[in-house]
Amino acid sequence: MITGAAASKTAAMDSFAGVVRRYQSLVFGLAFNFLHDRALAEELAQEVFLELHRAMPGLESDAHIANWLRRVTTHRCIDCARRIKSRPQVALEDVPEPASTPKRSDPLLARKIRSLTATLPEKARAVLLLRYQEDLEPSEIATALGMPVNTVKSHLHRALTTLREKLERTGVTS
Amino acid sequence: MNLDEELRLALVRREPPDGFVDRVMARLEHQPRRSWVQPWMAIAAALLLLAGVLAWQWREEREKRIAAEKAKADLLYALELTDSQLQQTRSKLKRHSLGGLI
Repeated sequence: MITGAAASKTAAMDSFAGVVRRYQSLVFGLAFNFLHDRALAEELAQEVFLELHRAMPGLESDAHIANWLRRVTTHRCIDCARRIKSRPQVALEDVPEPASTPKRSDPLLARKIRSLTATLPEKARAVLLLRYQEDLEPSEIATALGMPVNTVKSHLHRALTTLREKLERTGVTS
Repeated sequence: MNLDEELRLALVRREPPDGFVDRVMARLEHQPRRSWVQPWMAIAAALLLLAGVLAWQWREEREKRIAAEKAKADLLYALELTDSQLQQTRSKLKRHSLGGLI
């Protein structure tokens, strides 16, 4: 027979499991696209959700949770990359990629783009991911990363310029 | 190539490996319970205790010092009294002796 307290705890855990399910692709996606390391990305994603569980009492809405997750995941990715100097040390073509559902116009180009993104400086990488994976506006990215909007725009501009140049050098043209 | 579009297609959200939710929940279950006692509370309690011990020791020392000074004062008073009495006795003896001679 389950006591009231135990039933309440089970319900709370089930509810949190639902939250994890809802946001796992956001968190893991950011982590993998940032770090380009599947094991590291999963470890980081797990840590983020453990931290989310502690922070839940202070979060009031789904939007609040999503913003919190973007901010915390990105900051952890930046810290992790700095610790391991995660400009990829292995050939990125050898990094196994997790499943992704949306259809790509060119899977090789997409893979190339992800590889090149992983070589960008950490802050620029973070800005790019929040812009293109999460579709945030520069003002929202500025809030998430705690930097001025103009700095966000500058990072974005330089990141796009760098990617364009590198893609052209590898023979990918407009 | 529309780089913006290609970036959106390339940098999509990704599902983690199967069983991710179960692994998170398992870690949550086995996480050590966080004590409600925060580190700063423990430090504050230790400092308060230390302050209390030091205050008690200071009070003890002070009381001993006061008692010692009182004892010293009593001894000095007693010595002065004795000295005074000796002076008086000496004076009486002297008068007595002189009285006998005359």
